[in-house]
Amino acid sequence: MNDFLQTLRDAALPTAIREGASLFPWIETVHVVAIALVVGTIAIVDLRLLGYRAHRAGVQRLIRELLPYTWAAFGLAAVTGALLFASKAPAYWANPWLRAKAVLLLLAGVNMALFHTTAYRTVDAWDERLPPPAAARLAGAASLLLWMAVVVCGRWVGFTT
Amino acid sequence: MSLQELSERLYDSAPSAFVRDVEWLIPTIQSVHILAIAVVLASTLVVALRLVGAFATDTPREAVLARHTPWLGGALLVLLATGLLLILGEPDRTLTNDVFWLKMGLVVVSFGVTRFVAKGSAALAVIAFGLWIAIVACGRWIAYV
Repeated sequence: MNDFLQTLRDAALPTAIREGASLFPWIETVHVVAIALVVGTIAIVDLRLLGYRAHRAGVQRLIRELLPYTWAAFGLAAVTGALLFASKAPAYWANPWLRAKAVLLLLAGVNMALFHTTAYRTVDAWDERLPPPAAARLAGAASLLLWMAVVVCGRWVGFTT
Repeated sequence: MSLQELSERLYDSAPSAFVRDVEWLIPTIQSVHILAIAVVLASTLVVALRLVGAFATDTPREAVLARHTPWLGGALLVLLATGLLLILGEPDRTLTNDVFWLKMGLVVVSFGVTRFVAKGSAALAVIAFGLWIAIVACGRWIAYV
């Protein structure tokens, strides 16, 4: 693993990011904007699942309309995150905050998959209902907390690497 | 008193030292700052998309604005509070930093633009969204200049 991380770090692009005058801050800037859009748009859905009204009455249309923007921002956050990681791969890998962030991202993914395969299957029955069923509220609360924790861990990575 | 002197006097004050010396405080305040930024960017994005006509076109514009404006206002208050704490803790990193003042200038402009977005202008809503992104970019660059 360490050999791989070292090789990754020494590749051309990661080296350019690490040694360049402004590449790292620019990628970091895009990363921050992207993650803010991911968390912000997801929070709108999470809060609706918790029972707060959104700009749309129905959960399905709210999700369907916002999701493309969330995914686009997530793609940008993932690519920029991977580039930042590669530039100092061994150091980031050794950082407990980065590991915690990776685990939390995984859990957020699991939570989303669980929601879509359980509560969301019956969404027709509770689409405009307030408050939504307990399973949906639980998924919304878990998602909100997980994504907030992802941001906090991400910020700590910057202070500890 | 010059900004340099103000920065030094602030730096030497007890509250400033407190913010700096409690090891977890600045990363935590910055984390809250970024979470509030998430609310600002998402709410201004949704408003811009609605006013442009990209989505929720069967919901009245006023309803979308009314739903997101209080969240925007609340988030801006959180940003102001956490931002002031960050200046208090690290005045030498902010008050004497050109990018910080560019950021503050853009914040003032964006406040003005955002007030008019409430009247329903799609173009201003897109400009406001772009301005908030530029403001976030300046925020990140404060650390590098």
